[in-house]
Amino acid sequence: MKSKMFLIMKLSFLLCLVTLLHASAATFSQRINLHKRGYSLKETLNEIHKQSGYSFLYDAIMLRSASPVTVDLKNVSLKEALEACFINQPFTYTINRNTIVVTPKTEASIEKAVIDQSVIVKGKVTNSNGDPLSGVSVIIKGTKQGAITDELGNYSVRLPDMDGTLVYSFIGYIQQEVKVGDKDVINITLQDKAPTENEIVIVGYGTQQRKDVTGAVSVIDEKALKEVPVSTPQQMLQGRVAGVYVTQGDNRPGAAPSVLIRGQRSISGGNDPLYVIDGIPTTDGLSDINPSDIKSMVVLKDASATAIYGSRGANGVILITTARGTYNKNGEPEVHYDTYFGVKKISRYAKNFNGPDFVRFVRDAYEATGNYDPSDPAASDAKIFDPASLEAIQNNQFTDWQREITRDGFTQNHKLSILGASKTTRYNISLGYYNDIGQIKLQDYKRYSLRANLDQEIGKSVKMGLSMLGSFNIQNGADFNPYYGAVIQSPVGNAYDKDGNIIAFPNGDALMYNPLTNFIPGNLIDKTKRTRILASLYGEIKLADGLKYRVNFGPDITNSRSGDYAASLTTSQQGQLPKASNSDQFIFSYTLENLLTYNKTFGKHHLDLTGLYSVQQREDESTSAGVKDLPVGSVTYYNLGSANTITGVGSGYSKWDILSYMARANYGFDNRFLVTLTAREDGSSRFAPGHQWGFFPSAAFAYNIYNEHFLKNASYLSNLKIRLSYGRTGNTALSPYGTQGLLSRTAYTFNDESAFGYMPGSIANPNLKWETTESYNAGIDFGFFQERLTGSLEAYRSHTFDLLLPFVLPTSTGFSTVTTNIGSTRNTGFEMSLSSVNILSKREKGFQWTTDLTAAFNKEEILELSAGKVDDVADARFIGEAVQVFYDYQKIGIWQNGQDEQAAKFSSSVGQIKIADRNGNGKIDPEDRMILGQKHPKWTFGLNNRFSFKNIDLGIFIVGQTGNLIADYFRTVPNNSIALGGRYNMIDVDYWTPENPTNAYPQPLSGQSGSPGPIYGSTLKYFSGSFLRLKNIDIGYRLPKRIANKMAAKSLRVYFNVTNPYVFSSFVHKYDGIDPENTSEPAIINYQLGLNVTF
Amino acid sequence: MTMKKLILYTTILILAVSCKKLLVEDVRTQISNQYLNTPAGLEDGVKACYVALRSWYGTQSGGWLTVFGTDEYTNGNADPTFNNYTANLNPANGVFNATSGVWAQLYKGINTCNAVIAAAANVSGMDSTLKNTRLAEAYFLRAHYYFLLVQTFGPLELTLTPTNSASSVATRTPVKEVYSSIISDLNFAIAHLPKTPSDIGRVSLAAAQHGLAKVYLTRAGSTAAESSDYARAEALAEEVITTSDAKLLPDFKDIFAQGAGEVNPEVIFSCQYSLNPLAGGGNNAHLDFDCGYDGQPGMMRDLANGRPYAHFKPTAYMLGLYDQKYDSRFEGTFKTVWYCNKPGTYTINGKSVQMHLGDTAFITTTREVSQSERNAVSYKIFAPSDYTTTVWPMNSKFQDSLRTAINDANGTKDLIIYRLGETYLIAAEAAFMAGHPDKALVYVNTLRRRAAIQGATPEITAANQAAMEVRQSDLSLSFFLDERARELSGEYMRWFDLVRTKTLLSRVKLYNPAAAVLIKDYHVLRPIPQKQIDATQGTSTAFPQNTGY
Repeated sequence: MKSKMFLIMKLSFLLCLVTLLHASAATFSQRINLHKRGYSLKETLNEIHKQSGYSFLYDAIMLRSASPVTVDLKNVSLKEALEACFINQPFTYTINRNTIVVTPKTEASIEKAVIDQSVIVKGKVTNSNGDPLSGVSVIIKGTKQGAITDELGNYSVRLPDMDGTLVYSFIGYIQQEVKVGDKDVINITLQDKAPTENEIVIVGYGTQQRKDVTGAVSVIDEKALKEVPVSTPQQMLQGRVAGVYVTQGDNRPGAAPSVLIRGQRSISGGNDPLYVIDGIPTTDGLSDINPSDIKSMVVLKDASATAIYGSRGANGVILITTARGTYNKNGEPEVHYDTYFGVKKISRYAKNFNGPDFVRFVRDAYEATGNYDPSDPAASDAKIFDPASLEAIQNNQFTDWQREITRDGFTQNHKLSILGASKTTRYNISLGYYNDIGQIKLQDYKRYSLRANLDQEIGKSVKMGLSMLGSFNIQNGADFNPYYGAVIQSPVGNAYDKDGNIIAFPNGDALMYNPLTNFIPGNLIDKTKRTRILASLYGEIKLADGLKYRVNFGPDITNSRSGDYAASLTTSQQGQLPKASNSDQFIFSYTLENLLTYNKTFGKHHLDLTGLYSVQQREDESTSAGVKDLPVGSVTYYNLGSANTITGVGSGYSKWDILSYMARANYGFDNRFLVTLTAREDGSSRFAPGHQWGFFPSAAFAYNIYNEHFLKNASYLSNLKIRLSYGRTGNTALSPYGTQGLLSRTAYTFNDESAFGYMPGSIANPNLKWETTESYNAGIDFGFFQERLTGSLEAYRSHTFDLLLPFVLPTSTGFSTVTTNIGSTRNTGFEMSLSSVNILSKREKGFQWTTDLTAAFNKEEILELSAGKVDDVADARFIGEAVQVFYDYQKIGIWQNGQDEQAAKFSSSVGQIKIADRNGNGKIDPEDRMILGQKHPKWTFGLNNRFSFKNIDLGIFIVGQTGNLIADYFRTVPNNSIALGGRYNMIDVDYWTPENPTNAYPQPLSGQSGSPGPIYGSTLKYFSGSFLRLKNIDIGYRLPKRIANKMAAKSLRVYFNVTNPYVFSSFVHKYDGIDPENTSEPAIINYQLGLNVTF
Repeated sequence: MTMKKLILYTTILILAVSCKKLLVEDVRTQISNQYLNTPAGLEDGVKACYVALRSWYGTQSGGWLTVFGTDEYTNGNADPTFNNYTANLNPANGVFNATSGVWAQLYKGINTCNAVIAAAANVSGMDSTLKNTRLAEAYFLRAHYYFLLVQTFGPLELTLTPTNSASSVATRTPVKEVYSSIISDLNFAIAHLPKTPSDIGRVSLAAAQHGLAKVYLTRAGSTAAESSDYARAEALAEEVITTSDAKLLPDFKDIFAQGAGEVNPEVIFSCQYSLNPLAGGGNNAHLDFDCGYDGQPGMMRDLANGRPYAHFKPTAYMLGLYDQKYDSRFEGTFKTVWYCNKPGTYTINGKSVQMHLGDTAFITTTREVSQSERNAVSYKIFAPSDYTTTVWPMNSKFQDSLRTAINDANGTKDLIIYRLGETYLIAAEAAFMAGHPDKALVYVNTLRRRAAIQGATPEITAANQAAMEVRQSDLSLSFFLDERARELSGEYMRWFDLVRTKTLLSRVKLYNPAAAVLIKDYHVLRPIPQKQIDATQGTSTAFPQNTGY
């Protein structure tokens, strides 16, 4: 009976499908009217079918035994109608959705006459590309019951009735709810949560689903990248990825920030992460890349993720993927135009003495040395100021040189891209132009870029493609920085005379040449032109089911050419004949990779295998020539041969190679347990034979607890994964030829002619080997409340050993250092990333508020140095301390009036810096130095809040750091900006005089120069590096579609953005510093107005 | 096998095989240290040995360490550290401590000498005389560098073999052993050096003899003194005077004349600088000695008058040493008159003066002048009481007008290290100390007669020469120090002279008021660079700092 019933049910289901096609409008609430007398049941049921749309399933032979039907029903429900028709019939019926099944009456079925309304819904879940999604949870709303889609995306759920609602949720996708109603089949396309393919994470040499990732990996997606216009890709990382520390040391146009992932581990080797652009590791920077071409940036932080890059992964890896063509419904190309215009306003200058204060300062400095008699100012002034200065002081002629050499900066960026796809071809072509006019005159940067990405499928098993970047940029003033000179230039005197001619020595001091001479058009040229071609070509062949071979070839060609010219009227020539120089550098590097991948799913097991063989090479050739005494200035650096004197000719060459073998296995079981094992062997030419090869293994394990059955009912949970990893990575940390003992060239003269010689330049050390980092990582990824709150926590410890360290030799050896594998460091830290949808609008375009928070703590420690667990005082490296610390004397004040004797005991005098005698031996000796603080912050964090309502969106981004010390550039001896010598201008500090017994800064002394500066002047430069910075505020407005359409655009967004509007920092607000992140240049606020259009 | 697979496997195979050789390093821009083992390499190595001379002679560091902070010179407008013996004269001071500092640079020179000396044994196919001559040059230079170091720092690390591997072991070898090594090296040099070297600028026999004489004279005043030191110094100096080609120039001021490579018979050894921009180096001595004439009425900065750093201001003692009536060395050493190079109308002594090109713009005097005397002239007078931090009579021995530009710091003039005039003074002092005052008198008077002002007639000249002569009873250590000051003023050795004669403190306190305040007994040695101590295994226990620092 059971099986028969099942058969009928199945039959009814099929029929129902057929019926639905032409009776879909029928509803249960439809009223029935029947006036029948003696009709057959069959006819009656037909009538009901016609009126209600319900189908009947019955055995026609069986129905012959039915009694005739006589009913008179007016506007009754289907239920009532059926009850009336089946009275006294030997049959009963069941309603299954739209089908009414008629069966012979039995004892049981009489019982079951109560209508069973439970329904079964089936369907398939796919993503926007039409690919099936497996593992999607399909839950009956309000219950904990439901199903999970299988590998083909199919599911089947039994609901108690048709009133139910199904909730489809999956990590990385927007949750959808569907009211079941009368539907039997519900096929769902889940939309990506973010516009990017958030689910797919690009990892080294391939991609992975986010849920399968076993390492510590952070992603910045396209949406985040598009939020704020930046000039370099690295700027995107600050505050957005926990554990990534970005510093913009230099704000001149074209300057690249530096990036440190999880602290400093290498002492002498680089700590820059490896940048992999469209699969090709690059060594020549990101500055040529137009940030708006980037689709995603992925930061690989732990050794499991980076070990596949072996020798180059020790400092973390940043994978950059540029946008590729996407297929849309119409197959039409999309045209994007993105632009912004920006103004850079200087918000803070170095605070130096203004004219009158400077004059007072000079007098004080001379008075302190007995060279100025305040009772006879006229005569004294005549002694300390030369006639030109005296006249200027008398006439109140002062110049603020800082403001003379600066201006409002201006940036503009344009990007036009065309992208699209057919069934077999995908393309993206983008043209970019970026122009940045610096806030310091003569500094500017222009970049023209062209990107072409193309993917072509040939047949079913072959795919080829390329990503190509062509970039040409021109930078002016890369090596020209007049700022320090302007800060220390005496404010006394005018830059121009009455007739508007420039005055070479405005205050008569022969070493204070007028810096404005540099800006006379054509006087100073410092131009670098750089061309870069960075390509990545690939071919992929599907050899068998799941087995693919891929070859990647990535040539990277950089040619840069600099020309320098300084006319006679410039600060560098000061009236001498002009000088000029040229230099050219040609770098060719390539990466060739052969990859074999295999993936297979069998039952609950999933296996991914990757094998790699690769070669990398970089060759660097350069030439340069310099001349002076150019008879005709107009030739600038285009005719070096015309000069009278050659001041230098040089050329250079270096080359290195790395050969690598890598294997990786990813194994997943039941969507719950994931294991990644990798092994990489790298050989580097930089080491001597016998030490060239390094082995870098890693293992990682992840456990998707969320997919456990016991958590099926935890509806508040939407993701939970635990990850553990271990791995080793390396760092060559050695320049080519670094193991060899080489001679360096010397210059001397005999008979007034050149006598070039060769002297020992380095100590050979053929035993050098790889610097290795071993690291452990534990992480947890979580999601709550349907992904309203998501995030991850990471804890790590990395141990770097065999550090390639300059072993500091006593200089009596004739050398100051030799590179050796000594010492080790450790970085321990933890990171938190949290994203929350604070307010989720129920309606489309309602008010929405999201917050992203990142916080990271890192502790750097030196474990061992050249002499074991012994401090290296000469280099300020201490066991148990951070890699870079400030080790110096501690200033505790200024010797005050009446303390003459005590001061003299410490070889100092009243008005000079008082140092803590920490060992109390009655004198200041090197033992009194102490660790004052570390260079890198212990804590870094970022907080991003985004609001949207209707078509308006607002973002407020805050970054901060704490736990570090900074050394203010302008207060660092030996700089004249802190000389306190009464000659050069300097920072307007509260200095000591007998009448002003401050403890802040010592008494100025005439004649004292910046080098070595005030006694113990090095102690004046330290300040807390903590800050909280309002990094960015951007407000955008997306024009309503109809307005956009009127302008022939599909979409149009305008935005206004302010970068660096405010910083909270004691260094700035208490100590008049410029900026805790950049102490040597004026601080700027960037205002940008931008436009994104899609046609 | 399908075509597809064939291509694939072939590609993999080719790549795997062909790349192994990629790991071989290809050095193109530099030369391996094996080069020193060849005849050409040895020649080039010896040339490199000379380079460290330029880290002392003609550098600011070398000047600061020897010229001021003495009785001869005090601070003009320089950083006061070295003249005033301030607390900045400490182990961290860059003059010692920096990689470019004198300690590191001289040891670099020593290591180069050591490398050349060690490599010489491997050099074949080279004429043995030539090889020994070159070796002797390296020995001489090594001794010279150690001599500078031991006088400056006292006991120090003595290494005679090249550094080929990393080691942080260093000790302070007693002064006695350092001197033994210096003497042994110089004896080798004397045994193998030719009278006339193959190139101007290379070490000659006379240089080695003069050098050794100076070493003995210095050792005699040190803790390592041996009784025969003065006699040996006397004998060696005498040999230079009698047997070498060196001659005293008739006119004192010609010794420092610039041009033609500064070759003259009085020069025994000099640090080479030249106009050659690629190898000429840069003598910076002119900067520190030049006084601040620019900015004075009628004057602007020009090439001939130099770029004035105005560091080394002569003391009153220095300026008062000369009998200006007979002694040409005051005029030969000091420039006192400046001529107008910026014509115009200026207010001088309260009156308006029309100044023409070449008119006297200002003068410096060594005596006070009355107001009436000032009123009588149309130029400014700087009498001693008018000296500023930058204007005073200026030592002109280092003036360099052949530099390429007004503010070019790179001087082209050779800096004289040894000259025959000093040989006479070594001979005289050594003879006096060894108990031969009669011989000492001969040397002294020969030199003093040369210094006499050339008269209009031979008779006047002869009378001047006679007036210059001193008597045996005038001789004393103090006299020799005064005479050295008159003859060798500013020539990069005064501080050593005072230390070796144990008169640094007494003379500084007497003659250099600015330095007198802070100078202490321990200042007869300079501090060991902190980096050296920090980098040595065992730090200050193994390599202790000099007392007082």
